[in-house]
Amino acid sequence: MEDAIVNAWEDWARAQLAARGRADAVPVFEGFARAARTLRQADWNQRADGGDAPGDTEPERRD
Amino acid sequence: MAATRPETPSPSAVTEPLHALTAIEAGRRLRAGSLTSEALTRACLARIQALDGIHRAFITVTADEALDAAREADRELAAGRDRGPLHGIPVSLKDLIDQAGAPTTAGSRVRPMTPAPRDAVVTARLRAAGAVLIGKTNLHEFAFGTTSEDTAFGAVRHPLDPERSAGGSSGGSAVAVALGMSPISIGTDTGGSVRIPAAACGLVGLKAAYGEIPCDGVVPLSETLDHVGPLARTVADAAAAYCILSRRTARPPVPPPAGSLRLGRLPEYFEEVLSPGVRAAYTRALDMLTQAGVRIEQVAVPHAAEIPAVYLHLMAPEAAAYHARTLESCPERYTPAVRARLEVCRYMLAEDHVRARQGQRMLRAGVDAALASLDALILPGLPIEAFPLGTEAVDVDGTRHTIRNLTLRLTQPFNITGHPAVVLPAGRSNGLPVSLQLVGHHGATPLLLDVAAAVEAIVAGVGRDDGRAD
Repeated sequence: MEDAIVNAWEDWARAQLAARGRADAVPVFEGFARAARTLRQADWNQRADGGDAPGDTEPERRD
Repeated sequence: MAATRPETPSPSAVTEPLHALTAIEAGRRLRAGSLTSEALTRACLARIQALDGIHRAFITVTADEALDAAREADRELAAGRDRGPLHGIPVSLKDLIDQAGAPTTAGSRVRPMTPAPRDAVVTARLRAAGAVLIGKTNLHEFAFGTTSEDTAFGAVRHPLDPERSAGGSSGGSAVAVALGMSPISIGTDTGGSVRIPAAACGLVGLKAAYGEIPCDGVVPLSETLDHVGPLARTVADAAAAYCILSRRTARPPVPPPAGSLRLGRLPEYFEEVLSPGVRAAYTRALDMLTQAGVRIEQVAVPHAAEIPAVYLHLMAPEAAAYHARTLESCPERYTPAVRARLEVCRYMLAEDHVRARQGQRMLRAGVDAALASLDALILPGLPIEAFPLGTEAVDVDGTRHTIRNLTLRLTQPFNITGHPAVVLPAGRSNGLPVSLQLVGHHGATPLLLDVAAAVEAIVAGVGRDDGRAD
Protein backbone atom coordinates (compact mmCIF):
# COMPACT_ATOMS: atom_id res chain seq x y z
CA MET A 1 0.00 0.00 0.00
CA GLU A 2 1.50 3.31 -1.07
CA ASP A 3 0.58 6.07 1.32
CA ALA A 4 2.18 9.50 1.00
CA ILE A 5 1.81 10.29 4.68
CA VAL A 6 3.36 6.98 5.71
CA ASN A 7 6.21 7.36 3.25
CA ALA A 8 6.96 10.88 4.49
CA TRP A 9 6.76 9.69 8.08
CA GLU A 10 9.20 6.85 7.46
CA ASP A 11 11.66 9.17 5.70
CA TRP A 12 11.44 11.62 8.58
CA ALA A 13 12.00 8.85 11.15
CA ARG A 14 15.10 7.55 9.37
CA ALA A 15 16.51 11.07 9.11
CA GLN A 16 15.74 11.74 12.77
CA LEU A 17 17.55 8.61 13.94
CA ALA A 18 20.57 9.47 11.80
CA ALA A 19 20.57 13.08 13.02
CA ARG A 20 20.52 11.86 16.61
CA GLY A 21 23.57 9.72 15.94
CA ARG A 22 21.52 6.56 16.03
CA ALA A 23 22.17 5.18 12.56
CA ASP A 24 22.60 1.79 14.27
CA ALA A 25 18.89 1.86 15.11
CA VAL A 26 17.81 2.35 11.49
CA PRO A 27 17.84 -1.42 10.68
CA VAL A 28 15.60 -1.92 13.72
CA PHE A 29 13.30 0.76 12.37
CA GLU A 30 13.15 -0.99 8.99
CA GLY A 31 11.98 -4.15 10.74
CA PHE A 32 9.31 -2.24 12.60
CA ALA A 33 8.23 -0.54 9.35
CA ARG A 34 7.84 -3.93 7.65
CA ALA A 35 5.66 -5.11 10.53
CA ALA A 36 3.56 -1.96 10.22
CA ARG A 37 2.99 -2.66 6.53
CA THR A 38 1.77 -6.16 7.44
CA LEU A 39 -0.62 -4.63 9.92
CA ARG A 40 -2.00 -2.13 7.39
CA GLN A 41 -2.53 -4.79 4.72
CA ALA A 42 -4.47 -7.16 6.99
CA ASP A 43 -8.22 -7.36 6.55
CA TRP A 44 -9.42 -6.55 10.03
CA ASN A 45 -13.05 -6.50 8.93
CA GLN A 46 -13.36 -10.29 8.83
CA ARG A 47 -14.27 -11.78 12.17
CA ALA A 48 -13.14 -15.27 13.19
CA ASP A 49 -16.65 -16.66 12.85
CA GLY A 50 -17.17 -15.08 9.44
CA GLY A 51 -19.33 -12.21 10.73
CA ASP A 52 -18.59 -8.52 10.81
CA ALA A 53 -15.80 -6.89 12.72
CA PRO A 54 -16.25 -6.40 16.47
CA GLY A 55 -18.25 -3.29 17.16
CA ASP A 56 -19.74 -3.23 13.68
CA THR A 57 -23.51 -3.28 14.06
CA GLU A 58 -24.23 -3.23 10.33
CA PRO A 59 -26.24 -6.40 9.50
CA GLU A 60 -24.55 -8.85 7.17
CA ARG A 61 -25.88 -8.72 3.60
CA ARG A 62 -27.52 -11.96 2.56
CA ASP A 63 -28.11 -11.25 -1.12
CA MET B 1 -2.60 -29.49 57.40
CA ALA B 2 -1.37 -30.69 60.78
CA ALA B 3 2.33 -30.42 61.54
CA THR B 4 2.29 -34.04 62.70
CA ARG B 5 1.06 -35.44 59.39
CA PRO B 6 2.91 -38.70 58.68
CA GLU B 7 5.45 -38.66 55.89
CA THR B 8 5.09 -40.92 52.86
CA PRO B 9 8.26 -40.21 50.91
CA SER B 10 8.63 -41.30 47.31
CA PRO B 11 11.69 -43.43 46.50
CA SER B 12 13.31 -40.54 44.66
CA ALA B 13 12.71 -38.22 47.62
CA VAL B 14 14.74 -40.51 49.83
CA THR B 15 17.82 -40.30 47.66
CA GLU B 16 17.60 -36.82 46.11
CA PRO B 17 19.74 -34.06 47.58
CA LEU B 18 17.84 -31.26 49.28
CA HIS B 19 18.32 -28.76 46.48
CA ALA B 20 16.71 -31.21 44.04
CA LEU B 21 13.44 -31.55 45.96
CA THR B 22 10.29 -30.14 44.42
CA ALA B 23 8.48 -27.57 46.54
CA ILE B 24 5.65 -29.99 47.23
CA GLU B 25 8.02 -32.77 48.33
CA ALA B 26 10.03 -30.37 50.47
CA GLY B 27 6.82 -29.13 52.07
CA ARG B 28 5.82 -32.70 52.84
CA ARG B 29 9.13 -33.24 54.60
CA LEU B 30 8.87 -29.94 56.49
CA ARG B 31 5.50 -30.96 57.86
CA ALA B 32 6.76 -34.42 58.74
CA GLY B 33 9.59 -32.90 60.71
CA SER B 34 12.27 -34.66 58.65
CA LEU B 35 13.53 -31.42 57.11
CA THR B 36 13.86 -27.84 58.28
CA SER B 37 13.35 -24.76 56.17
CA GLU B 38 16.72 -23.53 57.40
CA ALA B 39 18.47 -26.65 56.06
CA LEU B 40 16.63 -26.38 52.75
CA THR B 41 17.47 -22.68 52.46
CA ARG B 42 21.12 -23.35 53.27
CA ALA B 43 21.20 -26.03 50.56
CA CYS B 44 19.84 -23.55 48.03
CA LEU B 45 22.32 -20.86 49.14
CA ALA B 46 25.13 -23.39 48.76
CA ARG B 47 24.03 -24.06 45.17
CA ILE B 48 24.09 -20.34 44.45
CA GLN B 49 27.54 -20.05 46.00
CA ALA B 50 28.86 -23.00 44.01
CA LEU B 51 27.34 -22.33 40.58
CA ASP B 52 26.36 -18.72 40.16
CA GLY B 53 29.82 -17.53 39.25
CA ILE B 54 29.31 -19.37 35.96
CA HIS B 55 25.57 -19.20 35.37
CA ARG B 56 24.79 -15.70 36.68
CA ALA B 57 21.25 -16.47 37.73
CA PHE B 58 21.18 -13.96 40.57
CA ILE B 59 21.72 -10.23 40.81
CA THR B 60 21.06 -9.97 44.55
CA VAL B 61 21.07 -12.79 47.12
CA THR B 62 19.17 -11.95 50.30
CA ALA B 63 20.81 -14.69 52.37
CA ASP B 64 20.43 -13.18 55.85
CA GLU B 65 16.79 -12.25 55.30
CA ALA B 66 16.13 -15.70 53.84
CA LEU B 67 17.68 -17.52 56.78
CA ASP B 68 15.71 -15.38 59.24
CA ALA B 69 12.51 -16.18 57.35
CA ALA B 70 13.41 -19.87 57.23
CA ARG B 71 13.96 -20.05 60.98
CA GLU B 72 10.65 -18.27 61.53
CA ALA B 73 8.93 -20.78 59.23
CA ASP B 74 10.47 -23.64 61.21
CA ARG B 75 9.18 -22.14 64.47
CA GLU B 76 5.69 -21.66 63.03
CA LEU B 77 5.45 -25.13 61.52
CA ALA B 78 6.70 -26.69 64.74
CA ALA B 79 3.97 -24.78 66.57
CA GLY B 80 1.33 -26.09 64.17
CA ARG B 81 0.84 -22.87 62.23
CA ASP B 82 0.76 -23.82 58.55
CA ARG B 83 0.56 -21.01 55.99
CA GLY B 84 0.16 -23.31 52.99
CA PRO B 85 2.17 -25.15 50.36
CA LEU B 86 5.05 -22.65 50.08
CA HIS B 87 5.52 -22.17 53.82
CA GLY B 88 9.26 -22.46 54.42
CA ILE B 89 10.06 -22.94 50.72
CA PRO B 90 12.79 -20.78 49.12
CA VAL B 91 11.47 -18.66 46.26
CA SER B 92 13.43 -16.28 44.05
CA LEU B 93 12.03 -13.21 42.28
CA LYS B 94 12.95 -11.85 38.88
CA ASP B 95 14.70 -8.54 39.50
CA LEU B 96 11.83 -6.66 37.95
CA ILE B 97 9.63 -7.34 40.99
CA ASP B 98 9.97 -5.17 44.09
CA GLN B 99 11.14 -6.79 47.29
CA ALA B 100 11.30 -4.28 50.14
CA GLY B 101 14.87 -3.64 51.21
CA ALA B 102 16.52 -4.87 48.00
CA PRO B 103 17.18 -2.87 44.82
CA THR B 104 15.09 -3.60 41.72
CA THR B 105 17.64 -3.28 38.93
CA ALA B 106 15.59 -4.62 36.00
CA GLY B 107 18.95 -5.96 34.82
CA SER B 108 19.99 -2.42 33.96
CA ARG B 109 22.33 0.36 35.04
CA VAL B 110 19.56 2.84 34.31
CA ARG B 111 17.82 2.29 37.63
CA PRO B 112 19.39 3.42 40.92
CA MET B 113 20.74 0.73 43.26
CA THR B 114 18.54 1.97 46.09
CA PRO B 115 16.38 -0.51 48.01
CA ALA B 116 12.72 -0.79 47.04
CA PRO B 117 10.65 0.89 49.78
CA ARG B 118 7.90 -1.73 49.72
CA ASP B 119 6.98 -5.13 48.34
CA ALA B 120 5.19 -5.68 45.07
CA VAL B 121 1.73 -7.18 45.63
CA VAL B 122 2.95 -10.62 44.58
CA THR B 123 5.94 -10.36 46.92
CA ALA B 124 3.67 -9.47 49.82
CA ARG B 125 1.44 -12.43 49.02
CA LEU B 126 4.43 -14.78 48.98
CA ARG B 127 5.65 -13.42 52.32
CA ALA B 128 2.21 -13.82 53.83
CA ALA B 129 2.22 -17.43 52.60
CA GLY B 130 5.48 -18.06 54.45
CA ALA B 131 7.73 -18.29 51.39
CA VAL B 132 11.44 -17.71 52.00
CA LEU B 133 12.60 -14.95 49.64
CA ILE B 134 16.12 -15.94 48.69
CA GLY B 135 17.11 -13.36 46.08
CA LYS B 136 16.52 -11.43 42.88
CA THR B 137 17.26 -13.11 39.56
CA ASN B 138 19.02 -11.86 36.44
CA LEU B 139 17.11 -11.02 33.29
CA HIS B 140 17.28 -9.48 29.85
CA GLU B 141 17.46 -5.75 30.51
CA PHE B 142 14.00 -4.38 31.33
CA ALA B 143 12.56 -7.71 30.14
CA PHE B 144 13.01 -6.44 26.58
CA GLY B 145 14.58 -9.50 24.99
CA THR B 146 14.44 -13.28 24.96
CA THR B 147 18.06 -14.35 25.47
CA SER B 148 19.04 -12.87 28.88
CA GLU B 149 22.33 -11.79 27.29
CA ASP B 150 21.77 -8.04 27.26
CA THR B 151 21.97 -7.37 30.99
CA ALA B 152 24.19 -5.18 33.10
CA PHE B 153 25.05 -8.18 35.28
CA GLY B 154 26.53 -10.65 32.80
CA ALA B 155 24.80 -13.01 30.41
CA VAL B 156 22.73 -15.75 32.03
CA ARG B 157 24.08 -19.17 31.04
CA HIS B 158 22.07 -22.31 30.34
CA PRO B 159 21.96 -24.90 33.17
CA LEU B 160 23.08 -27.77 30.93
CA ASP B 161 25.54 -25.94 28.69
CA PRO B 162 27.01 -22.59 29.82
CA GLU B 163 27.81 -21.69 26.23
CA ARG B 164 24.09 -21.53 25.44
CA SER B 165 21.32 -19.09 26.29
CA ALA B 166 18.85 -19.99 29.02
CA GLY B 167 16.18 -18.05 27.12
CA GLY B 168 14.55 -14.97 28.52
CA SER B 169 13.72 -12.58 29.65
CA SER B 170 13.32 -14.48 32.95
CA GLY B 171 16.50 -16.44 32.23
CA GLY B 172 17.93 -16.14 35.73
CA SER B 173 14.70 -17.50 37.20
CA ALA B 174 14.85 -20.56 34.94
CA VAL B 175 18.48 -21.26 35.82
CA ALA B 176 17.76 -20.81 39.53
CA VAL B 177 15.06 -23.48 39.41
CA ALA B 178 16.90 -25.82 37.06
CA LEU B 179 20.08 -25.78 39.16
CA GLY B 180 18.36 -26.14 42.53
CA MET B 181 19.02 -22.59 43.73
CA SER B 182 15.32 -22.20 44.51
CA PRO B 183 12.59 -24.72 43.75
CA ILE B 184 10.32 -21.94 42.51
CA SER B 185 11.03 -18.59 40.91
CA ILE B 186 8.62 -15.83 39.96
CA GLY B 187 9.10 -14.27 36.54
CA THR B 188 7.23 -11.98 34.22
CA ASP B 189 5.86 -12.69 30.75
CA THR B 190 5.03 -9.97 28.21
CA GLY B 191 5.63 -12.01 25.05
CA GLY B 192 6.78 -15.30 26.56
CA SER B 193 9.37 -14.32 29.16
CA VAL B 194 8.30 -16.99 31.65
CA ARG B 195 7.51 -19.69 29.09
CA ILE B 196 10.53 -19.22 26.78
CA PRO B 197 13.22 -19.77 29.45
CA ALA B 198 11.12 -22.50 31.11
CA ALA B 199 10.94 -24.27 27.75
CA ALA B 200 14.65 -23.75 27.03
CA CYS B 201 15.64 -25.14 30.43
CA GLY B 202 13.19 -28.05 30.71
CA LEU B 203 10.85 -26.55 33.30
CA VAL B 204 7.21 -25.76 33.84
CA GLY B 205 6.34 -22.10 33.25
CA LEU B 206 2.88 -20.61 33.75
CA LYS B 207 1.37 -17.44 32.38
CA ALA B 208 -2.06 -17.18 33.97
CA ALA B 209 -4.88 -15.31 32.26
CA TYR B 210 -4.35 -11.57 31.84
CA GLY B 211 -5.14 -9.67 35.02
CA GLU B 212 -5.33 -12.72 37.31
CA ILE B 213 -2.05 -11.93 39.04
CA PRO B 214 -1.44 -8.26 39.85
CA CYS B 215 1.55 -6.44 38.38
CA ASP B 216 1.65 -3.62 40.96
CA GLY B 217 5.23 -3.10 42.07
CA VAL B 218 6.63 -4.73 38.93
CA VAL B 219 8.63 -2.66 36.42
CA PRO B 220 6.42 -2.64 33.32
CA LEU B 221 7.31 -3.41 29.73
CA SER B 222 3.81 -3.18 28.28
CA GLU B 223 0.91 -2.89 30.66
CA THR B 224 -1.62 -4.47 28.32
CA LEU B 225 0.58 -7.53 27.77
CA ASP B 226 2.48 -7.93 31.07
CA HIS B 227 1.84 -10.98 33.25
CA VAL B 228 3.55 -12.34 36.39
CA GLY B 229 3.98 -16.11 36.68
CA PRO B 230 5.91 -18.96 38.28
CA LEU B 231 8.66 -21.22 36.97
CA ALA B 232 8.94 -24.60 38.67
CA ARG B 233 9.98 -28.21 38.07
CA THR B 234 6.47 -29.66 38.13
CA VAL B 235 2.94 -28.62 37.35
CA ALA B 236 2.02 -29.20 41.02
CA ASP B 237 4.70 -26.75 42.16
CA ALA B 238 3.61 -24.15 39.60
CA ALA B 239 -0.01 -24.61 40.70
CA ALA B 240 0.94 -24.05 44.34
CA ALA B 241 2.64 -20.78 43.44
CA TYR B 242 -0.22 -19.75 41.16
CA CYS B 243 -2.77 -20.15 43.96
CA ILE B 244 -0.74 -17.87 46.22
CA LEU B 245 0.01 -15.27 43.55
CA SER B 246 -3.64 -15.10 42.49
CA ARG B 247 -4.87 -15.32 46.09
CA ARG B 248 -6.86 -18.48 45.49
CA THR B 249 -7.36 -21.27 47.97
CA ALA B 250 -4.54 -23.80 47.59
CA ARG B 251 -5.72 -26.58 45.30
CA PRO B 252 -3.38 -29.26 43.90
CA PRO B 253 -4.10 -30.01 40.24
CA VAL B 254 -6.47 -32.91 39.65
CA PRO B 255 -5.57 -34.57 36.36
CA PRO B 256 -8.66 -35.70 34.43
CA PRO B 257 -8.70 -39.16 32.80
CA ALA B 258 -6.85 -39.12 29.49
CA GLY B 259 -9.88 -40.50 27.69
CA SER B 260 -11.92 -37.46 28.61
CA LEU B 261 -9.40 -34.93 27.28
CA ARG B 262 -9.91 -33.05 24.00
CA LEU B 263 -6.99 -30.99 22.74
CA GLY B 264 -6.64 -28.90 19.61
CA ARG B 265 -3.45 -28.66 17.59
CA LEU B 266 -2.77 -25.76 15.24
CA PRO B 267 -0.88 -26.90 12.13
CA GLU B 268 -1.27 -23.55 10.39
CA TYR B 269 1.36 -21.01 11.54
CA PHE B 270 2.01 -22.63 14.95
CA GLU B 271 3.56 -25.83 13.56
CA GLU B 272 5.06 -24.37 10.39
CA VAL B 273 8.46 -23.28 11.74
CA LEU B 274 9.98 -25.91 14.03
CA SER B 275 13.51 -27.27 14.18
CA PRO B 276 13.73 -30.94 13.16
CA GLY B 277 14.47 -31.96 16.76
CA VAL B 278 11.55 -30.02 18.18
CA ARG B 279 9.23 -31.35 15.48
CA ALA B 280 10.29 -34.93 16.23
CA ALA B 281 9.82 -34.56 20.00
CA TYR B 282 6.48 -32.78 19.50
CA THR B 283 5.25 -35.55 17.19
CA ARG B 284 6.34 -38.19 19.70
CA ALA B 285 4.48 -36.40 22.48
CA LEU B 286 1.30 -36.14 20.39
CA ASP B 287 1.56 -39.86 19.60
CA MET B 288 1.90 -40.70 23.28
CA LEU B 289 -1.11 -38.57 24.15
CA THR B 290 -3.19 -40.21 21.41
CA GLN B 291 -2.13 -43.67 22.53
CA ALA B 292 -3.17 -42.75 26.07
CA GLY B 293 -6.66 -41.95 24.79
CA VAL B 294 -6.49 -38.17 24.43
CA ARG B 295 -8.50 -36.90 21.45
CA ILE B 296 -6.53 -34.40 19.38
CA GLU B 297 -8.27 -32.34 16.70
CA GLN B 298 -6.96 -29.82 14.19
CA VAL B 299 -8.10 -26.24 14.61
CA ALA B 300 -6.96 -22.85 13.30
CA VAL B 301 -6.70 -19.24 14.45
CA PRO B 302 -7.48 -16.70 11.70
CA HIS B 303 -4.99 -13.85 11.28
CA ALA B 304 -2.20 -15.85 12.90
CA ALA B 305 0.28 -14.54 10.33
CA GLU B 306 -0.27 -11.01 11.62
CA ILE B 307 0.51 -11.92 15.24
CA PRO B 308 4.08 -10.52 15.35
CA ALA B 309 2.96 -7.20 13.87
CA VAL B 310 0.04 -6.93 16.27
CA TYR B 311 2.28 -7.73 19.22
CA LEU B 312 4.90 -5.17 18.23
CA HIS B 313 2.37 -2.39 17.81
CA LEU B 314 0.71 -3.09 21.14
CA MET B 315 3.96 -3.38 23.07
CA ALA B 316 6.17 -0.71 21.54
CA PRO B 317 4.20 2.46 22.34
CA GLU B 318 3.81 1.39 25.96
CA ALA B 319 7.51 0.57 26.30
CA ALA B 320 8.36 3.91 24.70
CA ALA B 321 6.15 5.82 27.11
CA TYR B 322 7.84 4.22 30.12
CA HIS B 323 11.40 4.71 28.87
CA ALA B 324 11.12 8.07 27.08
CA ARG B 325 12.58 10.11 29.92
CA THR B 326 15.60 7.91 30.60
CA LEU B 327 16.30 7.43 26.90
CA GLU B 328 16.82 11.20 26.84
CA SER B 329 18.57 11.64 30.20
CA CYS B 330 20.92 8.63 30.34
CA PRO B 331 20.81 6.65 27.08
CA GLU B 332 24.39 5.44 27.56
CA ARG B 333 23.35 3.38 30.59
CA TYR B 334 21.23 1.01 28.50
CA THR B 335 22.81 -1.99 26.82
CA PRO B 336 23.21 -1.08 23.11
CA ALA B 337 20.72 -3.54 21.61
CA VAL B 338 17.96 -2.76 24.13
CA ARG B 339 18.56 0.95 23.72
CA ALA B 340 18.27 0.72 19.93
CA ARG B 341 14.97 -1.15 20.08
CA LEU B 342 13.52 1.13 22.74
CA GLU B 343 14.46 4.22 20.77
CA VAL B 344 12.70 2.90 17.70
CA CYS B 345 9.64 2.14 19.84
CA ARG B 346 9.19 5.91 19.99
CA TYR B 347 8.72 6.06 16.23
CA MET B 348 5.32 4.44 15.81
CA LEU B 349 2.18 5.74 14.14
CA ALA B 350 -0.85 6.01 16.43
CA GLU B 351 -3.09 4.60 13.69
CA ASP B 352 -0.97 1.42 13.65
CA HIS B 353 -1.50 1.02 17.38
CA VAL B 354 -5.24 1.28 16.76
CA ARG B 355 -4.99 -1.39 14.05
CA ALA B 356 -3.11 -3.60 16.49
CA ARG B 357 -5.91 -3.22 19.02
CA GLN B 358 -8.38 -4.27 16.33
CA GLY B 359 -6.13 -7.23 15.65
CA GLN B 360 -6.00 -8.07 19.34
CA ARG B 361 -9.79 -8.32 19.49
CA MET B 362 -9.86 -10.51 16.38
CA LEU B 363 -7.16 -12.83 17.64
CA ARG B 364 -8.80 -13.15 21.02
CA ALA B 365 -12.08 -14.10 19.36
CA GLY B 366 -10.17 -16.49 17.10
CA VAL B 367 -8.53 -18.32 20.00
CA ASP B 368 -11.86 -18.46 21.85
CA ALA B 369 -13.47 -20.01 18.76
CA ALA B 370 -10.65 -22.52 18.35
CA LEU B 371 -11.01 -23.54 22.00
CA ALA B 372 -14.81 -23.68 21.99
CA SER B 373 -15.25 -27.45 22.13
CA LEU B 374 -11.84 -28.29 23.57
CA ASP B 375 -10.13 -28.47 26.94
CA ALA B 376 -6.97 -26.80 25.67
CA LEU B 377 -4.85 -26.01 22.62
CA ILE B 378 -1.55 -27.84 22.31
CA LEU B 379 1.60 -26.65 20.55
CA PRO B 380 5.34 -26.53 21.22
CA GLY B 381 6.57 -23.94 23.70
CA LEU B 382 9.65 -22.95 21.73
CA PRO B 383 10.33 -23.70 18.03
CA ILE B 384 14.03 -24.39 18.57
CA GLU B 385 16.32 -25.86 21.20
CA ALA B 386 18.48 -23.62 23.42
CA PHE B 387 20.92 -21.83 21.12
CA PRO B 388 24.54 -20.69 21.60
CA LEU B 389 25.03 -17.29 23.24
CA GLY B 390 25.59 -14.60 20.65
CA THR B 391 23.35 -16.19 18.02
CA GLU B 392 21.35 -13.54 16.15
CA ALA B 393 19.57 -15.69 13.57
CA VAL B 394 19.15 -19.34 12.65
CA ASP B 395 17.99 -21.32 9.61
CA VAL B 396 14.90 -23.47 9.98
CA ASP B 397 13.84 -25.48 6.93
CA GLY B 398 16.06 -23.30 4.74
CA THR B 399 14.62 -19.98 5.90
CA ARG B 400 16.53 -17.48 8.03
CA HIS B 401 14.78 -16.31 11.20
CA THR B 402 15.97 -13.86 13.83
CA ILE B 403 16.25 -15.36 17.30
CA ARG B 404 13.93 -12.71 18.67
CA ASN B 405 11.13 -13.43 16.21
CA LEU B 406 11.55 -17.18 16.49
CA THR B 407 11.59 -17.35 20.27
CA LEU B 408 8.51 -15.15 20.58
CA ARG B 409 6.59 -16.87 17.80
CA LEU B 410 4.64 -19.45 19.83
CA THR B 411 4.20 -17.57 23.09
CA GLN B 412 3.35 -13.95 22.19
CA PRO B 413 -0.06 -14.88 20.69
CA PHE B 414 -1.41 -15.63 24.15
CA ASN B 415 -0.10 -12.41 25.65
CA ILE B 416 -2.07 -10.63 22.95
CA THR B 417 -5.22 -12.66 23.66
CA GLY B 418 -4.71 -12.97 27.42
CA HIS B 419 -5.48 -16.70 27.51
CA PRO B 420 -3.73 -18.74 30.23
CA ALA B 421 -0.82 -20.80 28.89
CA VAL B 422 1.65 -23.20 30.44
CA VAL B 423 4.77 -24.91 29.09
CA LEU B 424 6.05 -28.23 30.36
CA PRO B 425 8.95 -30.53 29.44
CA ALA B 426 8.45 -33.07 26.67
CA GLY B 427 11.75 -34.83 26.12
CA ARG B 428 15.03 -33.74 24.63
CA SER B 429 16.60 -33.02 21.29
CA ASN B 430 20.37 -33.39 21.06
CA GLY B 431 20.46 -33.43 24.85
CA LEU B 432 18.56 -30.15 25.15
CA PRO B 433 15.04 -29.76 26.53
CA VAL B 434 11.97 -29.59 24.31
CA SER B 435 8.61 -28.41 25.60
CA LEU B 436 4.88 -28.56 25.05
CA GLN B 437 2.58 -25.60 25.54
CA LEU B 438 -1.07 -25.84 26.57
CA VAL B 439 -3.48 -22.92 26.25
CA GLY B 440 -6.71 -22.83 28.23
CA HIS B 441 -9.95 -20.90 28.41
CA HIS B 442 -10.18 -17.44 29.93
CA GLY B 443 -11.14 -17.65 33.57
CA ALA B 444 -10.13 -21.30 33.79
CA THR B 445 -6.46 -21.38 34.73
CA PRO B 446 -7.01 -24.06 37.42
CA LEU B 447 -8.61 -26.31 34.79
CA LEU B 448 -5.65 -25.68 32.48
CA LEU B 449 -3.35 -26.81 35.29
CA ASP B 450 -5.46 -29.97 35.69
CA VAL B 451 -4.99 -30.69 31.98
CA ALA B 452 -1.28 -29.90 32.26
CA ALA B 453 -0.92 -32.37 35.13
CA ALA B 454 -2.53 -35.07 33.00
CA VAL B 455 -0.31 -34.29 30.02
CA GLU B 456 2.77 -34.12 32.25
CA ALA B 457 2.10 -37.65 33.51
CA ILE B 458 1.61 -39.02 30.00
CA VAL B 459 4.59 -37.40 28.28
CA ALA B 460 6.96 -38.17 31.15
CA GLY B 461 7.92 -41.26 29.17
CA VAL B 462 9.21 -39.13 26.29
CA GLY B 463 12.30 -38.67 28.41
CA ARG B 464 11.46 -36.03 30.95
CA ASP B 465 14.29 -33.66 31.58
CA ASP B 466 14.21 -31.57 34.70
CA GLY B 467 17.19 -29.57 33.52
CA ARG B 468 19.22 -30.12 36.64
CA ALA B 469 22.95 -30.37 36.21
CA ASP B 470 24.14 -31.80 39.50
